[in-house]
Amino acid sequence: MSRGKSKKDLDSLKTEDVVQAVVVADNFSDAFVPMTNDVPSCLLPLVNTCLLDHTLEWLSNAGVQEVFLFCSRQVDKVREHVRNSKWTVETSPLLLNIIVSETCLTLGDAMRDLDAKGLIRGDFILVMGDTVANVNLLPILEKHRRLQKSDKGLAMTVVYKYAGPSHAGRAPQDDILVAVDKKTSKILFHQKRNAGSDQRKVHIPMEIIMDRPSVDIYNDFVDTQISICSVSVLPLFSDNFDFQTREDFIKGLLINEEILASSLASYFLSDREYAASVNSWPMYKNVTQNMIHRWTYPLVPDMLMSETEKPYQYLKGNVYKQHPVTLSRSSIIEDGCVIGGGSKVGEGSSIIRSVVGRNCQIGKDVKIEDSFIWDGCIIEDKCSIVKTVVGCNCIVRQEAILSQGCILGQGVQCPAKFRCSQRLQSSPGDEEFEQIGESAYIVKLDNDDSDSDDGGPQQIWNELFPNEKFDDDVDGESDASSELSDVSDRSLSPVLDDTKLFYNEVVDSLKRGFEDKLHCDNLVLEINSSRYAYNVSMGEVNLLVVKAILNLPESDSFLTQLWQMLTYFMPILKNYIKNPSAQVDCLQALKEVAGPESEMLPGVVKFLNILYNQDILSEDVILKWYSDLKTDPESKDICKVAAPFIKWLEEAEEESEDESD
Amino acid sequence: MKVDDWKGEVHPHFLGFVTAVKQGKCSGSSEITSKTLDLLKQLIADGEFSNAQEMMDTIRAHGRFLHKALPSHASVANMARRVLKIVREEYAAGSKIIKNKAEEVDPQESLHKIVTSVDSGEDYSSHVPDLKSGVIEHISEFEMELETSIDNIAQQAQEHIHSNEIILTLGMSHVVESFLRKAAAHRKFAVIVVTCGPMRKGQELAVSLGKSKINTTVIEERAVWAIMSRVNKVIIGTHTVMANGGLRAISSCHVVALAAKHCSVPVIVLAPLYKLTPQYLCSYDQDAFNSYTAPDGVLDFSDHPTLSQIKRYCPVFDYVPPELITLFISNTGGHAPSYVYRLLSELYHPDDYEM
Repeated sequence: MSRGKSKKDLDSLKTEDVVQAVVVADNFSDAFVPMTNDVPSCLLPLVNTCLLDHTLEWLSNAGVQEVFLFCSRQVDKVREHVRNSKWTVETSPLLLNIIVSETCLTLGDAMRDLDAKGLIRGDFILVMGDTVANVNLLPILEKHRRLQKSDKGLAMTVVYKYAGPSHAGRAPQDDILVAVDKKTSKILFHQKRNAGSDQRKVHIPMEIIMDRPSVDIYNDFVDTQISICSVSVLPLFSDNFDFQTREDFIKGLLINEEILASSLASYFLSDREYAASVNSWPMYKNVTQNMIHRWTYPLVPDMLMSETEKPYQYLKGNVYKQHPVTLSRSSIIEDGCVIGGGSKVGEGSSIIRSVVGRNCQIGKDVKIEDSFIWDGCIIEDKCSIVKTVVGCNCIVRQEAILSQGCILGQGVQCPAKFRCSQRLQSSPGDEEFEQIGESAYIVKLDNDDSDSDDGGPQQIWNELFPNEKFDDDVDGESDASSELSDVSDRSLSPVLDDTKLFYNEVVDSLKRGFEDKLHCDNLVLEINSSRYAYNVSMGEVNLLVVKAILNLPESDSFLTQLWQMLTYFMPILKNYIKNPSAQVDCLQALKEVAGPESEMLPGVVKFLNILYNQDILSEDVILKWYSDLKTDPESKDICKVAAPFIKWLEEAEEESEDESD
Repeated sequence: MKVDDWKGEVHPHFLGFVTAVKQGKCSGSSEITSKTLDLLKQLIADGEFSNAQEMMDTIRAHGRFLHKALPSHASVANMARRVLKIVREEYAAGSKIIKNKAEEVDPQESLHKIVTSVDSGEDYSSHVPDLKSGVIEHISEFEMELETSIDNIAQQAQEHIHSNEIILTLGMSHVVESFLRKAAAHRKFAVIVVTCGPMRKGQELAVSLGKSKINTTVIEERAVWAIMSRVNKVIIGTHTVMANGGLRAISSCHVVALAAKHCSVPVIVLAPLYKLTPQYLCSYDQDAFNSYTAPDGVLDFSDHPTLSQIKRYCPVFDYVPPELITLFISNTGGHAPSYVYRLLSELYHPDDYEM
């Protein structure tokens, strides 16, 4: 009798305990354009296995029993992939359901859709379809449930992984600052830090620290995009239609904690556990390297993942070879490489720290370093491919040189002897394009588009290999010096979305203000409000306002227009450029605008003179700026132009000193 | 038999088994071995075979699949070899019955017969009645042998461990654990356990020995050399015994064996017969021979400034050459390393050495 009862209890426990996970197949961004033009991001290959398979493999290892795969783009491709995978076989440890909603454009939409469909019965695990991890989820789920008992409003446990500020497992745009109540592991503060803003200053509300005995504040953890959600998460998304991303959700919950009666908990992974979301090229590179170096064990290439695939062989120097690979005797493969099955490598070729897909043909004397070559590519003789991603079925003709963050979309044919460090795709886009060969077009990313943050090749290079700088100055340079170089590199570093938007807005305001003769005080108000909207630091504001003014005049009769505008906008400048650090920003803007062939160059002296006479710029700051300029070879021209003014300044100074003597 | 095209050819249970082993859900050589045997038995029971050749082809294909998918688990392929041998024996016995019909079959094969007999083993295509049931029965017997193998080894403990001896062992091995426990029931002796980083399984063993009231000391690998001169015997388990009598054993075994050789301490290896493999170690194959886990036991992921500069390896196994080993103790008794080849020829048919 009692035995029967206990068995019944066990059964009910079991049905309750089905661990459910929601996998979102799309990352809702175009970080991987042009690769994601016709393939959803979760089907991109990472170490020759697509990201979705890595995610599902991990979930099945981690104790998840039922998975809802949420698709919104290119649903057929995801369906077909899943149908051919081991996850739909009878013996599969996972029950996989596909949910389709083609209208979803953000994670928030997806959550609202899930809420409407009412498929989720209890706590669930929310992950992106591009997660690579080896974490066991059950302890985290258990902790979430335990905390739920003491805190009924607990909505989500956010999973963090340690990665120090310059850690290889971390992309610069993922910098976050987290404050956690030590006792209850409740999240009190969670903010993404903009790389553009002042890194050294952090604002934490006092009330967070005031009423608690101990608070931990971290800046050396990254958000793994893994979260354990209570049932209440879905209705919360539905009620707050302005929650678009997970970030919005966390921010909104922390701000309106009382109103929404919900809280967030944190979970910090131990050193032995690995988790990362591949949502950008830097992360793609990092995770690939980590997998090759086996941090993701047991998710490593030589542990057979798919039954249709041949196993990989693991060799010295972290080299993985899949059967059958044909390597010529004089080829060099070393330092962390993966070579897919059916690939051939010709005489004298070297492959270092790279991944080569299946059925690739690599010719003679080819150099491949730090690159990712996907399935079915043909690389002809004497090519050099460095820090490049080559999509599926590309052809790179003889002696082509691809370098520094070049990305070739699927099926691009790169002409012989071609040099490139840009993104190419195989078909012309909707808008303007530049053709450089048969089925090879340069991808033009719309700069006004808020989702894209890519300009010149330099920025893509930075994006793909952000740690390069770190690698270069390993030879004992101190932190202080690298910080300094960061400041001087400001013109090179990628401008972030928000600051770019802010800049555009400032330009619009100023243009309109000048045309309609608006009062400067009103313009200052406008600029300040946009500043708050985009959360731009004061230093950036100073820099961008001056830059905007200097860029405003039309190209013909540039200087005359500039002087008019300058006198008109003088109150604005006086408002912003108040202290020495603002003056430094102002001069930095001047330096950036007055490039070697710009029309600003001849006007530099007059500009400096006007601001000096208006007491906006002080003598000391100008002299300091000039001495910095002299050491910088790139700003030779501006240095030459500014020299007479500096000379005059120095003389004036001497005179005044003489007089005082 | 197309082995390259695995899908469809391989029984889905085998795929599940491979995944389970890779994910660590099924671990420990005795568990993996008995699971494999179970699967092979199931395969034979479920399959339709018109003759022995077909049966052997199926077993061989699956054995090859397992061997390729789990290259570091030699005992898996060994099981396939043993089952093949069983099929051969049953076939020979069955066809002899058909041939001799009324004649009395001599169960003992004399040396003369072995030498003079024409090898009929090349042809397995003729039909033998009750082959399947015979094979399954034989496999069940073999299963029994597997189950008792650890006990059989432990039974010999008293012959090797004497009173007041100091025994050194390393890592965690169930055979060694039961061997020492058995000896402790009658004798009093001390055990030194080497922890074996980075997994430090030795601590587990030490805890369990301590619970059975054995005087146990835990040391690090670096102390092995210093302490070896005081040790009377080294008793270790192993992952695999290679065809030349060498070992594939948990890393740091080689160090211990070298130290023992230097101090002339006997090294005794406890190895159930299923750990004997007809494979040799090729010098160019060192890396395929070993297997590597995540480097987090050696170096923390958070040691970030050094990560990009350092190559990290975390090998699981060591190769110990046969000249460092004094004696193997299997479930059938003690053997010298030079005798392993003879055991192999008894266990497996030479045609099955290459899977």
